[in-house]
Amino acid sequence: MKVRAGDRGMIPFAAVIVIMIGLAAFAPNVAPYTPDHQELAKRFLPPLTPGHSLGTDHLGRDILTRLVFGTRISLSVGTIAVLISVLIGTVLGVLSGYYGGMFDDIVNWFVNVQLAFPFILLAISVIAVLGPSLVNMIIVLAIGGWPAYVRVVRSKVFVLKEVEYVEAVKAIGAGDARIMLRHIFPNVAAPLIVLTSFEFAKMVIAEAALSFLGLGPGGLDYSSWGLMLAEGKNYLAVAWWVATIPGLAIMTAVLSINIVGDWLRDRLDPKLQT
Amino acid sequence: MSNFWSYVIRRAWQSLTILLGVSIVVFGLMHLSGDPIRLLAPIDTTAEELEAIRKLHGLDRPLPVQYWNFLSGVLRGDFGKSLRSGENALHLALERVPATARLALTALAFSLIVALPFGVLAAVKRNTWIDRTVMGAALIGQSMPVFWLGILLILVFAVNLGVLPATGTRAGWRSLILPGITLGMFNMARTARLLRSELLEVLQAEYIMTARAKGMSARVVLWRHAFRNAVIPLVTLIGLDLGALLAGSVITETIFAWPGIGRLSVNAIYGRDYPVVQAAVLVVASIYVIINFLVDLSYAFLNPRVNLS
Repeated sequence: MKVRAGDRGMIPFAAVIVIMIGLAAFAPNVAPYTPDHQELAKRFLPPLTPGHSLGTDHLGRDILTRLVFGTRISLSVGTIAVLISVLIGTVLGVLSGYYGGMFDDIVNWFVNVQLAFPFILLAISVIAVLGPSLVNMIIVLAIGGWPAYVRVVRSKVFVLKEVEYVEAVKAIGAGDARIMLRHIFPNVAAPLIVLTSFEFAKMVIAEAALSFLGLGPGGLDYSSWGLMLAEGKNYLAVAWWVATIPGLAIMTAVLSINIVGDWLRDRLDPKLQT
Repeated sequence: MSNFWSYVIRRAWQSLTILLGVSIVVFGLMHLSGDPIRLLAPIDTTAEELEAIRKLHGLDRPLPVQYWNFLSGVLRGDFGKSLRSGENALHLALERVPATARLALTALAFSLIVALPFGVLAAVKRNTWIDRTVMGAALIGQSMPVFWLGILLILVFAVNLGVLPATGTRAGWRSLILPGITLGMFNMARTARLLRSELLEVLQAEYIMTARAKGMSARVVLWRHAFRNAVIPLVTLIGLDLGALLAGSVITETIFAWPGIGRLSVNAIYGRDYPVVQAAVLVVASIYVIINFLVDLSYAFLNPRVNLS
């Protein structure tokens, strides 16, 4: 791909994502402390205190450390949840777009039921049933994510299956599976990549929202940005930074992913509206 | 016109099947989550007493029978009584709707009042610093998690400046400002971005060139021709947005202790108050489905080119 003038603005945001991945990978080497290391005597130290550059929280834990470890939760939960929902959504979307009929009606019904059920309520009820844990959080997010892919993929396949070259390979005797895999799927890939980038941003927010509502696994060493925010909100009047800093981290991450997503869309699929 | 009515009937039928699905999910979820009676009854309750309470609520019968009873109750408007307060569950849910509706409408109004002028401004001044600033701000608004925005607003306007209430509804319309902005921010940012791109597309259409060539002033071209056509897709979106705002106010209501249906359902889920959860979720889903239905109909009615099949 040729680099165009408009691309340069995207570079710092792509860099943010690369740095986040690096921090997540090397968190124990980069972070000055461990996420559960607490010193009650050093509670609520403000940012720029020597030894605690972003300050400490209500238990005297280092905020920078917890922030660095938080990238692990955000990225891993987001990535796995997105992969599961892409897989489910794409398979169902291709099949229901290609075969249509009854199968399509049923898939469509599931999509509509899912969309009519407010996501946060669904998430809370499922976690109330399964219990709070990282795996359950991923399951819930994947359940919330798949309908978006079905919708985009299905409508694209509807158009694609009528295209001449698909008719042509069919006439030579190619089977349905081969047509879907070799001839239809590659043409769905571009909108899929674009949608995935925006959905990934949503997953990062959703993970933080669930942790914020206390639906994550909890525990002293569980450092999710959403949980940090929830803990910090009780001390707004005494220590503004405890809640503000993790929120800033979430926003920076989501903003960067969205900007890279915008760039991808302009590059790959300008007609897609998001 | 008969084509239109058959579309209406088909869409209405589809909406009903969706609500039926939601009722199955709601019922199923609440019954997988363990025995509510054990949580509610005092610790020293005997096994016979537990059994009696179960019988009283119909929780001793097989699941399909319970679902059937639930559904026929729902169709009669009877969701049972709250396991905690003993009040009529549907009544509890419905009396929270006005508070959520007030919040959602405030959020919608806020987002449109800001998004319309700035969306137009960005399109007219495209590729200038004004456009870049407005669109940059919109991107930030779109990336801001609601729970963080809510906390920031409380920190600044309630804790530091002390000019607006942080929670509750006691201060009348002033109580609506912070939660309204919090809930409306994402919508505002998205509407501004959409309006800009719609306008840019319309401004390139041939009839705009014709209008310009005829010597019309830039202002007349913009408002009389371009704006009107760019706003049509937005009108559909506004209906859908209202549905999404009503359903999406859960977190905002939780942060601001707003007595709406979202907070009611969250508390009911934590308290395992089945009848209230079922009533609240079905009420929210019904509102959402009905709004979508009406939006689709008005769209089909107003725009004869829409494919009704």
